[in-house]
Amino acid sequence: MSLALKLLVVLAVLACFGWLRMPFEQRLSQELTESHLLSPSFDRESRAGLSQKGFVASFGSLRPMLAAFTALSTTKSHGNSDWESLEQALETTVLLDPYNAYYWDLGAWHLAYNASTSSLENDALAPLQRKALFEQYIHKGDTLYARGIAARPRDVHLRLERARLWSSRHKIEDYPKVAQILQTTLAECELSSIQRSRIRGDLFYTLLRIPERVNDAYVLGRELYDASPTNRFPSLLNGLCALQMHPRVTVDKPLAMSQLYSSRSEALKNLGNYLNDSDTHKPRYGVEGLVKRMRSVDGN
Amino acid sequence: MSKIGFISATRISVIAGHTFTQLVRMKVFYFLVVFAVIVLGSQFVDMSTLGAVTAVEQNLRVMKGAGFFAMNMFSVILALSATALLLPKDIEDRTLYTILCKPVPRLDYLIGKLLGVISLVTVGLLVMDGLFCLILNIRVEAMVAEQADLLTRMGRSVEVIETHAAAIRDQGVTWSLQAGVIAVLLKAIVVASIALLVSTFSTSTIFTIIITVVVVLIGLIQAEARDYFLQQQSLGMSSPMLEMTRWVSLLFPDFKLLGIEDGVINGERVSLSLLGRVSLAGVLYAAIYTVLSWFVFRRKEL
Repeated sequence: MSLALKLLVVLAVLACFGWLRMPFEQRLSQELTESHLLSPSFDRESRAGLSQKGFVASFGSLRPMLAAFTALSTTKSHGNSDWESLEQALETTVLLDPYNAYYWDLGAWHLAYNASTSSLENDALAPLQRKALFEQYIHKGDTLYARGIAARPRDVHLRLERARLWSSRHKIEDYPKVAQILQTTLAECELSSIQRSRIRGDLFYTLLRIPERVNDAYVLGRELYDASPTNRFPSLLNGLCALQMHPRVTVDKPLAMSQLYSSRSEALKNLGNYLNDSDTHKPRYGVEGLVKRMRSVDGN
Repeated sequence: MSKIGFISATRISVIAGHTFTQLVRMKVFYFLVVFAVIVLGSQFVDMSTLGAVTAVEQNLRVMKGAGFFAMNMFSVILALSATALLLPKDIEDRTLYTILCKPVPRLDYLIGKLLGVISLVTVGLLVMDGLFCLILNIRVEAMVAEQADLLTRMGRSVEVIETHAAAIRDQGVTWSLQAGVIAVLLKAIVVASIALLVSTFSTSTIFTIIITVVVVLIGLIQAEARDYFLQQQSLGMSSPMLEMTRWVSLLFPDFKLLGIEDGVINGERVSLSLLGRVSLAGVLYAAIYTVLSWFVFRRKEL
């Protein structure tokens, strides 16, 4: 048999073998991608964007290495306030290593905090343009958090960072969104008892700031109060005290002041701090009157 | 004349042992020094904090990335160059004629040669793995102690400190890390078997190396070609691109399938079932290329 004929037979056997193994390969590849052991394949658009890097990155274990180097390049773009280059580098980084939460966190932080603030303080732009860019970068950062959460649904840190972004008083406060993120985290993530308790606490402080959900805040606050004395931080007690006086909150058995505070002086101090807090979203209904009454009793 | 058995384990082991010794004498293990330098150097890379985002485990991921990259590179280059050299060297030294004039079937000869190369790669990988695990473990324990000290000073509870320690150790030496090393070995085995097939009809070592590298490169994007082909086919589309991706999917191995170390670097766990199926894929590729090597080589005039 001539070499050419032998090679034709080899190709025919390889094609038959290929036809037999294709369903097995496809199924296994899907399973490995679902269990995050393989990064998703690049689509044609992504591969074109990555140019030569796409081929290099195809070689095993080079994707995480390349991602680390592209992530380092963001530091330079950050220093030069070159947000377009930074965005491109971030896109490449998360494309190369989509299951590494660190890069999603880094990218979202750069866009939502650095790029947004830099745009807001950019004197070369008109005020409306600055505000528009500020908001645009915050939303871009949020989108990165959301994509990171979709890639790593069990990652609690990314979810909490996203919640932190929407509760930052230096950005765009959106407490209903924060509440939704925290509730989803509680429902979808495996959490330790400490983490669960802390997130429930954060959810209470968030609900407290949403006028339509003060009743939910009170129910959750009471649960936290009843669950353990270690949960009874002054902020929780002040919140409960304020909510008990709120006209929209239905309270069956309100907590007595002696149950909330160990002494009258402590109650005065904590409620005074609560009133003086610059956060305008906290409900203050009746608190000022209560403090005045307590002070007048003390004065007598 | 007595009939010779088709496959003899003794004959194969003798040829494999001889091949292993032959390759060791070429001082190939000197690459381990370079590997040690890469792994030792990678532990000084500090990427845990970029801006305000901190994740101490990121340093371990970078270290594992560098370690796996070096393991991949050395094992694949070793497998490719050693296999590509085998037949030409045996012809040049006239060893091939000495062996084949004896009652040694050509399949035994090819399997023996391949196993010799695989043994060499396995020994090299075991040493690299041992060195890598040792350095990684030292780094992990140092990091755990550093974090525990920091968190204790911050007044954090024992539970919080233990959770942090567990998160760091998850990125250290685990069973899944060894599964990643097995995947690297499988990749090298498949590369060696492709090089063996090419060398049976190749005219020079350089030709063997070039063709094998081309097959490996196409194999790295085979999964994308297959995805495209299956998707377009299910839509009933027809185009030259569809035909091209069909043939790429059929003729080339899926090397991406053997790249589970990407997930291992990120701390993902590898189940035994998945590792078993990845290994099956690797062994099947190697088996088919070896059988085809024999088919081309069995009546070849030397």
